[in-house]
Amino acid sequence: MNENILRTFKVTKRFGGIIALQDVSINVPKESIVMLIGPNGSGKTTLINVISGQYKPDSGKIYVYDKDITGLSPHKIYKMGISRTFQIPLPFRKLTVLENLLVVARNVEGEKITSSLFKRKKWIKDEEELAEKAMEILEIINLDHLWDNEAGNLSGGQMKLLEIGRALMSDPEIILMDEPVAGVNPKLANEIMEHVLALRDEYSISFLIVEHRLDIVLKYVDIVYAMHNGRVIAVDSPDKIISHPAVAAAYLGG
Amino acid sequence: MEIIRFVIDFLSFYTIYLMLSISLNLEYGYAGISNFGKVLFFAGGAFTVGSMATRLTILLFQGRWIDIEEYINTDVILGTKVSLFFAQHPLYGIFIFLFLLVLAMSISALLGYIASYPAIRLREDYLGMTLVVSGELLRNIAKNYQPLVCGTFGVYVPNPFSWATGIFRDLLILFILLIFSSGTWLIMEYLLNSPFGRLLKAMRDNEKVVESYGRDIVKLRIKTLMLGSAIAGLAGGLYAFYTGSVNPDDFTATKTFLVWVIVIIGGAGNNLGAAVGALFYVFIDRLIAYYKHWICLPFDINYMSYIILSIILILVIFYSPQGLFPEKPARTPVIEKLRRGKQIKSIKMQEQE
Ligand SMILES: Nc1ncnc2c1ncn2[C@@H]1O[C@H](COP(=O)(O)OP(=O)(O)O)[C@@H](O)[C@H]1O
Ligand SMILES: [Mg+2]
Repeated sequence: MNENILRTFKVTKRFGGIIALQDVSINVPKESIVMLIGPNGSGKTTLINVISGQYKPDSGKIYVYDKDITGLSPHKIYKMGISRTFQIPLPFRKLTVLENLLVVARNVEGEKITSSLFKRKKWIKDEEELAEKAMEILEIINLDHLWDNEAGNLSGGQMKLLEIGRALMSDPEIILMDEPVAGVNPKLANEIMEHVLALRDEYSISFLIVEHRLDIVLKYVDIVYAMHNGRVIAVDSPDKIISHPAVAAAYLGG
Repeated sequence: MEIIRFVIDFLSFYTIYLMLSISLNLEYGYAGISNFGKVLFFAGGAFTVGSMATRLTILLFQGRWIDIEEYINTDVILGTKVSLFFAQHPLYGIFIFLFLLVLAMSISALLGYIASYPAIRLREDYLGMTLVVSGELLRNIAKNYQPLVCGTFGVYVPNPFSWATGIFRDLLILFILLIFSSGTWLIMEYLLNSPFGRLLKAMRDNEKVVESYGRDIVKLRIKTLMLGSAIAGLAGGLYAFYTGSVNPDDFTATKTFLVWVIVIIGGAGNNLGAAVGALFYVFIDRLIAYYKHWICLPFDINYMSYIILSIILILVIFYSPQGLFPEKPARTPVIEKLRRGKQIKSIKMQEQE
């Protein structure tokens, strides 16, 4: 297998008395799609939040390649090539769909006060390229016809797609996706997963995907971690993971 | 003649309020920072000019340092002498004018930097209270600590354009005010219709996401508050020069709320709205100030403009909660181009159907 692009080592996170994560160690090999399953409340979102810097872990380490990124703030972690999507879509509501993408691109010239005023030519030229790229992404996620609409007016499903679009726009090496296809119709959900595959193959992006909907997502992924009550209870290939007794029990019990 | 005076006076006040509303719109309308201390930064600029114009001129050009006792007791005499000095040396006047404006902006920007400390750490409501109180604090310091702007009765500000006379002088000052305010307007239009303006709006809509996408929102807020405060400081400095005096009691929290009402009536996130809102207020206020002895009311006429403004505010909130000119997406050249292209496309599509 490839080297690991992302690795957590014995990550523990408590909220008061609740142990949301306990000694969670997972590996995401480069150019792979790793899936994280588990009943509600098992700590999946918390793990994404800890990796992306929203929360600091109480103990344990997080590495990107061999670099320790534990406890860095979100904007610094983004600079390591990690982007994430949110379980509940959080579009910039007053911005248009296209602007939602433009605003998250990497190294945007004209985002500083001085360059926006004094490097106008340069940022306009950059923005033309970024807009073209954004339009391509919007085509992929079927939102191109809505490019000039306020994001706050999109439907729930469209907002989910926009979440993914934004993550793609930011040229990440790895995308952490929190329930990307929950609440999306099966046809679109499969399309989204096809795109994930294509992105992995064409752009070498790795994925860590939290998802409930095993029926749709399992067939696209390489490795599956199962969590329950803040612990990793099994790790296996997608075809074998369900036959783990602990996994079956967690799903039936939870 | 009176109508000309009125127009000059109206436009001069308008330029000041325009700058204040643009600066609040930057902070609140775009960046989502509820600055309830606008007057603090306005006063910062005015006090800078008020406290230094006379003393700095005498120090620089006559090599004499006015001690505090003399300053407090004879500020009007000293200031008048300085005005006479400027009448003979126009360039010195212009130099002092520009220098103090730059200083006013810098000091207000510094105050903005200090205010960003709580702005980053406090919840919105606490931040609002902190800033209201800070403004009142500065006003009370100025009122009671005479070496600043001579205390309760305020300080005389010499006129750097005293070489011009009569209506020509007023027109000249108005012209300068118009240059500064339209310059501010233009710069802000360029700045806000750019990736910077877009990023501010994104931060306002969801700062957590902006941070996840690699932007340092702490820095962004500091920059925004410093810029907004510098503009307010510029307005304050110009206001001091225009009115020819600085009086601490002119800088109550009411000024802050006026600017808020202007921005909300006009439309937060749209400078055109801020401009129209300011137009409403200044016009009503000046009209009443000019014609107050013609109107007879059972209460202090000076409250009339607040009453009218409140009625407009209520109507706007009921019928157009986003303000008279709701926010629009940033108009960068690229987006404009795409939009033109899109229109052509959709027309074609309709023709095919
Ligand atoms: N910010 C928080 N404060 C307190 N408890 C939290 C917080 N976030 C998550 N939790 C708790 O941590 C546990 C794991 O939640 P979460 O990670 O959202 O689970 P999942 O995403 O697997 O459904 C739950 O018991 C949840 O209530
Ligand atoms: Mg979750």
